[in-house]
Amino acid sequence: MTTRDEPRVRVRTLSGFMAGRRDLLWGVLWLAGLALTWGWLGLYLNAPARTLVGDACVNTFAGASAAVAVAVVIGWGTALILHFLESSRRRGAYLALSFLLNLLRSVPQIVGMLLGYVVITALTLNEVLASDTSRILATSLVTALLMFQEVVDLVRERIRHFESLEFVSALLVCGVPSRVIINREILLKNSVPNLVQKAVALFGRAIFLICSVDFIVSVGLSAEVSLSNLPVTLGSMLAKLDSKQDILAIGTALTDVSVIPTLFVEHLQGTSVAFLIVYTLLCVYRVANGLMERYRL
Amino acid sequence: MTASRFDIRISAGDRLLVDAVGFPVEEGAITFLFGESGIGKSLIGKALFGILDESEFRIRMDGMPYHEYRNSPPARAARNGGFFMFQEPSSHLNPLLTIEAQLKEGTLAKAKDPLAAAMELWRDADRGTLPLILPVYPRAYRPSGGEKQRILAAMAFSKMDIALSGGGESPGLFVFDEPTGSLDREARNRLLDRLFARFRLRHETILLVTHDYGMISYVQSRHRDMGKSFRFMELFVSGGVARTREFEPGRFLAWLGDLHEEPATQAPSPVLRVEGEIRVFGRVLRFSRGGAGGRAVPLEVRPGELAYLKAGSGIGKTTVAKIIVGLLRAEHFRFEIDGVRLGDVSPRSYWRKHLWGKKVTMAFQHADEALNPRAGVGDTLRILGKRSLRRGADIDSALSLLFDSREIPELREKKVWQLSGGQKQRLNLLRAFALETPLIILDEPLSALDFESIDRVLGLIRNARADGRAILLISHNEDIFDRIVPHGSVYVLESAEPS
Repeated sequence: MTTRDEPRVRVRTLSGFMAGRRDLLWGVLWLAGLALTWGWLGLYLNAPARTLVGDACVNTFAGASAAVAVAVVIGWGTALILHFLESSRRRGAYLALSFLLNLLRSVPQIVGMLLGYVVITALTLNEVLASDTSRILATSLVTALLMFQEVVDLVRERIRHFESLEFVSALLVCGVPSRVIINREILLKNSVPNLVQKAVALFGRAIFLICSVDFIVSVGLSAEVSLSNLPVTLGSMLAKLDSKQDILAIGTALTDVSVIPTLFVEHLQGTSVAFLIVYTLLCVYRVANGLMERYRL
Repeated sequence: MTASRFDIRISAGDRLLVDAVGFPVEEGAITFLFGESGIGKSLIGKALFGILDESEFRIRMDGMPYHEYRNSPPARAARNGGFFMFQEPSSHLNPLLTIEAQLKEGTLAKAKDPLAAAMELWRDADRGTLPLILPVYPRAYRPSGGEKQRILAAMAFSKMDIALSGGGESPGLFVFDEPTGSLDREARNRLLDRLFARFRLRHETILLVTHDYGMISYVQSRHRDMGKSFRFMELFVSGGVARTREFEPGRFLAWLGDLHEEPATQAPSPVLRVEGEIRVFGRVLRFSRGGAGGRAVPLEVRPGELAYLKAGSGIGKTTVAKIIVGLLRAEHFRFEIDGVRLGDVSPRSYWRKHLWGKKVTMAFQHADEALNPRAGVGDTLRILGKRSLRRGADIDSALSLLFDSREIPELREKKVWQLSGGQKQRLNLLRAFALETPLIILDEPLSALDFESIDRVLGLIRNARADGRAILLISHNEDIFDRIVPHGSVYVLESAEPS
């Protein structure tokens, strides 16, 4: 048993292990990038600004995570309601719900976010949303309402695909209830990679939406409510005057290379925030693609 | 193919899958390889033919690396002069070429009359259907599984005919991987007859991979004179590795001889009664007794009775079973299950609420498709929601009906996709029998099983009957069930003119 083809099969290097798990690789790279950035900021950025960047990161990522969780829950539930309305032949209710969903789908996400911010502003003025946490959760809910239909589409597509397979028929004739077949056998046992991939993609989308809209509304929402009393996020950080100067410095570096070294020590607030947004979006995109490759979705 | 016995070792990664020592593949002999599905029979056939993928498996043939074996002049000559008939006809046939084009494709174009080889495999009465499928591009459902298998066998026969007309060259290797899985007994026997007729004229090297042990009784009774050319081998799993051993055909024949007719029950009212015709997909189906063309009768299955539904390939046995369990809608049908009358206007929700899992259940034909591959073995039984299957010990006790007690602890930890084809089939059957429905429909319950498992499944059927459960059986294993099922419980399904 000393043939030349043996080592190829037996020896598993780290690079070989990671080659089939690009999602893990990019997840690790993302965390490493965050840690490196934080370490660098610890060395060269003043403490108040560093705290602000830290809060912005936490608020943005927590808000995006909450938005994904809410989108998955609403999407899963809505898909089940649609499925059971359709299979029980309640055409009227099915068409009404489909119409409402399509109406919501027709609203561009960025416009929906802006409208959502108007509502959040009104609720903040009326002191319904009194704490930062409640405002972040309200932002997450708005973001989730604009994204959850992707989960609905995915869940319905999985149900349709598996319903055409014989194992679902076999379980039905064994008397297993449809809700158990759909939730446990189809979604939990056969669709977790699809749902995780979708959740990761939505996480990236949520960060993009939150940062974009926070930046756009930096001109101010009302005389009493502004970004200064909404929770700070990476998007709103970019709108701050110091950050804008740092971004201008990045533009200057394109024509004057001597400015480049100063970006990493003197213009850290705006540079690091811009880097965190772009780097996070890149890594999340790569993780989602890696999951698709690994599980052949 | 100069070596007459091969040592074949096939591994995936570090795991040894197949260790076949002294496997006979002799020039001018027909080797039958029996055994449960999914344990490595096809791997042996593919390894011998030289088509296994070295990036997936580590293979050694007689101690030599696989690429050396594959490129050796004898192996190349055997491959060039031979043919590999794949187990799954749908994946063997090219969906982008018509059946007729594939019958004449490549080296098959040298055959004098490729269509004649196909014609031989059709019954005289059905030959009119062959020209209808020649212009068809193969799809999942058309031609039927049985028609596809006959087309593939015809390709192999054309290759043999080319060698017959040319002569002189060394024998080719012909591997038939489960060539009769979708064929009824008559079609299977015709295929074997045509194969052996060619073998008598020119001794090719033939490997016939199958789990249809019924072939033994046929070849021993009808082709006894060829006895010296037959080799019977069996693949079995020992210590997690598939190994081969000689199979003594007398053992199967003695077992078959011991099977006896089990008397039908005399219960007054049937659990299932299908009246008149069933109209589905524009066709009319009816039941008769005493062979094709007999008098139309209602299909009745009484408590404790095993009713056997027969039909040629593609007539619609599985379709009828699915109509009875409410998975398919027919344009017209009328039947009664355990006192509940049903017809074409009965809503599907009625089956869901009152019949599925309560009065009727079904074990599907292809266990591969009938089980959730991502589910655990225990989960597959536990999901039935029966109180008697909630604890690990209960699951073990249920599994022990069809599995060796030694393999159960390991088996319980496995997912369905990790099981062999035979293990899946046994689990598929156990799930149906675990429910205590008065009516069970079994669609090809013996497919993919080895000899020992077949014996256990027959025991399970016997016990269910003793418990008063009615069983409707669909099976190509006529060699076995014709001996068990009384004549009065055998029904023939046939197409009919609308009345």
